[in-house]
Amino acid sequence: MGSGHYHQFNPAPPSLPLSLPPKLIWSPSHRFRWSFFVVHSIDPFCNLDLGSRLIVYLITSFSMKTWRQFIGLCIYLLVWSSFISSPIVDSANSNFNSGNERTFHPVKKFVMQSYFDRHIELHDSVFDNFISQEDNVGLCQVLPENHDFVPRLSVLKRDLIGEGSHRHVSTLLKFQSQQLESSSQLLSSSCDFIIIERLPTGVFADPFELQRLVQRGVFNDVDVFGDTNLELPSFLSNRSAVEIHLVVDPNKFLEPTDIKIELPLHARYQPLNESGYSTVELGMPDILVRCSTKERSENQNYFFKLTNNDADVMYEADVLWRIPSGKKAHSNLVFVITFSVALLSTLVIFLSSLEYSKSRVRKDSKQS
Amino acid sequence: MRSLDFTSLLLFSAIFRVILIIYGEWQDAHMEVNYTDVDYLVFSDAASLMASGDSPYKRTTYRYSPLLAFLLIPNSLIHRSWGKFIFSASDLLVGYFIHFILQQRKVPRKLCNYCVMTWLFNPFTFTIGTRGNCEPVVCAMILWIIICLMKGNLLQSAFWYGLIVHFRIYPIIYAIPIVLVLDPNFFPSNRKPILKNWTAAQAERLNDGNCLCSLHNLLKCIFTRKRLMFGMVSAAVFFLFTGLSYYLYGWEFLHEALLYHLTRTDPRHNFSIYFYHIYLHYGYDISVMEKLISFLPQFMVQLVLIFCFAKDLPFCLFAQTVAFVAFNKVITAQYFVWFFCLLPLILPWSKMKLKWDGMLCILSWMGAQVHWLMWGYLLEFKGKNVFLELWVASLVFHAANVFILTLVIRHHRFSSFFLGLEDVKSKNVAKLE
Repeated sequence: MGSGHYHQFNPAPPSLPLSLPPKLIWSPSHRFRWSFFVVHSIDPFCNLDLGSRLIVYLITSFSMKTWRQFIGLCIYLLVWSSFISSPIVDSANSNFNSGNERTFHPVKKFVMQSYFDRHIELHDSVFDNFISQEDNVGLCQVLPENHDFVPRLSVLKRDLIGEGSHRHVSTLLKFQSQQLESSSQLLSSSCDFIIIERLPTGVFADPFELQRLVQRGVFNDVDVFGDTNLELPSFLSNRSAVEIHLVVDPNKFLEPTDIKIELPLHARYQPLNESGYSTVELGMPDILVRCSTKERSENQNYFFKLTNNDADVMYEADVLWRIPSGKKAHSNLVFVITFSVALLSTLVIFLSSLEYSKSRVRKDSKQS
Repeated sequence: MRSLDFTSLLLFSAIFRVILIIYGEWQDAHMEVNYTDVDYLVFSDAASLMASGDSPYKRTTYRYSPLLAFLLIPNSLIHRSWGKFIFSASDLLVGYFIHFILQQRKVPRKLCNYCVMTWLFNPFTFTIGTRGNCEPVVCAMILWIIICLMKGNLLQSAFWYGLIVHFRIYPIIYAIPIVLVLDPNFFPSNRKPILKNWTAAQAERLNDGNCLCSLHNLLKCIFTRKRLMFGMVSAAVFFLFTGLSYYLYGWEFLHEALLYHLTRTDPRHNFSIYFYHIYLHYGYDISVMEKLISFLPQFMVQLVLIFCFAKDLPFCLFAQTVAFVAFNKVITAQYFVWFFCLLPLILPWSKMKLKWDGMLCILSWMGAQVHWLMWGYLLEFKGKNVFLELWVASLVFHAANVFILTLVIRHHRFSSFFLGLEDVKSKNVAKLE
C-alpha cells in the first residue's frame, strides 16, 4: 500500500552553523529524552507505526553526540514532515487506493456532504434529482451477481413522540426474513443504514445533542447539514437535513427484524398565524443501505435505496407537528401596553427617587 | 443566637459547593436532564478550540470575550470541571470581598455575617457557580473595583473597570456614578479617601445638599485630574483588550462578543416585557421612533438613579443594576446575580425588617417568577399557545421588580460612601470641643 515510501529516512543531518552557549548540558539522558520528544512530534505528520518509531528513536538518540547535531536533525525533520503532509503527496496516495476498486468516485462519508458541496440550500426537487443519479452517491442499480442481500421492508411507520417544542420523531422499519443462497457471504459483511431526514424550516436538530447520542452509542454517526442556526425563527432560516448512520449486522435479517430510530428535534419560532398554531409536516426519510463485503481481501461497497414504490409495504407516515405561534391580532395591543407599562414604571421610579431626595432635604432643614 | 465565625461560614460554603460540583458530574452522567448549564459546554468547546490554536468563535453561540475561553483552557488539559471550580472560587471570593467591605465600614459583626450569608447561601448564587456560569467572576471584579476605590487605588480600579467592560458590556452603566464619586471633596490630592462608617443612627446629616446640587457641582468641575485619569486609563485598557482580541480573531470577535449584545433582540420567550413585541415584529424594519421609545425608559431611569444616589455608591450601583435588568430587552436568570452581589452591601443601611416588608419583597419577587415559569413551561413543554398569558406574566414580574425597587429606596438610610472634607473638619472641630 505504499507504506514503504514513508520509511525512507536519511539519518545524516546537515550540519548547520549554530552558535549556542557552550554551557548547554547534553548528557545521554538528555539525548534519550529529546529523541523521545522528537519522535512524538513528528508522529502526527507521518503516521509511523511502532517499529518505525522505535527505529527513529534509536537512531536519533545514538547518533546525536552533540546538541548541535540534534538541533540540525530537528530542523531537517520539520522540513521533511511538512513536505510529507502537503497535498501533493496526499492525492497521489488516494489515487493509488481507489484504483483498485470498480469505477466509482471516492465515496464521501456523508451523502449529504456531497449534496451541500454543490448546492447552497435544500430543495426537495433538487435533492430527489441528486439522489437518483448514481454517480453522486455511488448507487448501483445492478447489484454484484454474487450478492443477493436486499433487506425487504414490510412496514415503515413514523411517529412523533412527546409534547411541546422538544420532541422525537421515530421511524420504525420492519423487515421480512431473508432467504439466502449463500449465507457465508453475509457473515463477512456489514451494512450501514443511512437515514436522511430532510427537515422543514419549522424544526431543527441540535448537532451537539446528536453528538452526545453518538457518544452514548445510540447511533454510529450523525451529522446535520444546511442551516444549523439554533436561535433564528423559522421564517429567517433555511432547511436542514440530518444524516444518521446505523451499522447493522446483516445476520439479523435472517429473521423478521425491526429497526427503530428516534431523532430528537426542536421547534423553531414560527411565523405569525391567525389561529395561534402553525403546522409543520415531516416528510418521509430517504433510507439508503451501504453494504461492504470483504471478498478475496478486497473491499466492495454497494448502495441501494430502500424502495418507496413497493405496493407490499405498509406506510403509516403522516407526521404533523402543531407548534404555537404568535397571533398578528395581538400586535397593536402588545405594543401599546408594553410601552405604556415601561413609561409608567419609569415615572414611578422617577417620582419615588425625587421624593426620597426631597424628604432628605426636609429632614435636614428640620434638624438644623 | 450562636456567634458565627466568618471563616467557618466560608469553609462550609466551600465544602457545599464542592459537593454540588461532584453531584453535578454525577447527574450529568446518569440522568436525562443535565445539571451543567448549556453555556458551560459552549465555553469548554470554545476553550478547547483555542487550546488547539483555532478561533473560539468557531463554536456557535460563543458570545464572550476570548479571555473566558483562555481561563478555561485547563478544561481540556486537567479536568472538564476546572471552570466550575474557578467560578465557585470566584463565588467565595465575592463573599470574602463583601465581608471585607462591610468590616471596613465598621458594620457590627453579627449584621455583617448575616449580610454575607445572603450571598453565600442564596440558592441563585451557589447554583450559578456550580452549574458553570461565568457571572461570579464578573461580580468578583466589580466588588474588587469598589475595594480599590475605597483604598484610593485609582489606577488599579481603572484597570479592572476597563477589563470588566471588555468582558461584559453592562458595567458601563457604572461609569457615571464612579466618576461622580471621584469628587475632589472625597478624593483630595494629598491623602486617601476616608470611608463613612456605619451608624445605628436613624438619619444622616445632609451636608452636601440634594442631588440637584451635586449636578451643579459636576458641571462646574467635571474635568478634575482624578476623573480624567480614571476615564483615560479604563478606556485605554478597554481598547487594549478589545484591540488585541480583534487582532487575534477579527471581525467574528467584534460581531459575536460586542455587537451582538448591543443589538440583541431575541424573540424567544424570556422574562423581559418586550419579548412578545419583538416576536410579533420580528423581520420587519424597526423605525427610529420605535427604537427611541424602547431606549428612553432605560435611559431616564438610569439617569435619575445616578443623580439621586451617586454619593452612596453601593446603593446607587445596586439600584441601577436592578433597574437595568428590569428594563432590558432580554432577561435571563443569570442576570439576577448582578444585583445579588451588591445586595449585601446595602442591607445594613436598610430600615426594612424581615417581618413583614422583607418577606413581602422576597415572596412577591419569587411568586412573580414562579408564575412566569409556569406559563413558560406550558408553552415550551406542553405546546400550548399561551403567548399572551406569558407576556402578561412578564409584565407582572416587571411590576414586582419596580415595586421592590421603590420599597427598597423608601426604606434606605442614605449614607454617603466617603467622608467629604467638610465632614472631616466638622468632626475634628466636634472632637476638640
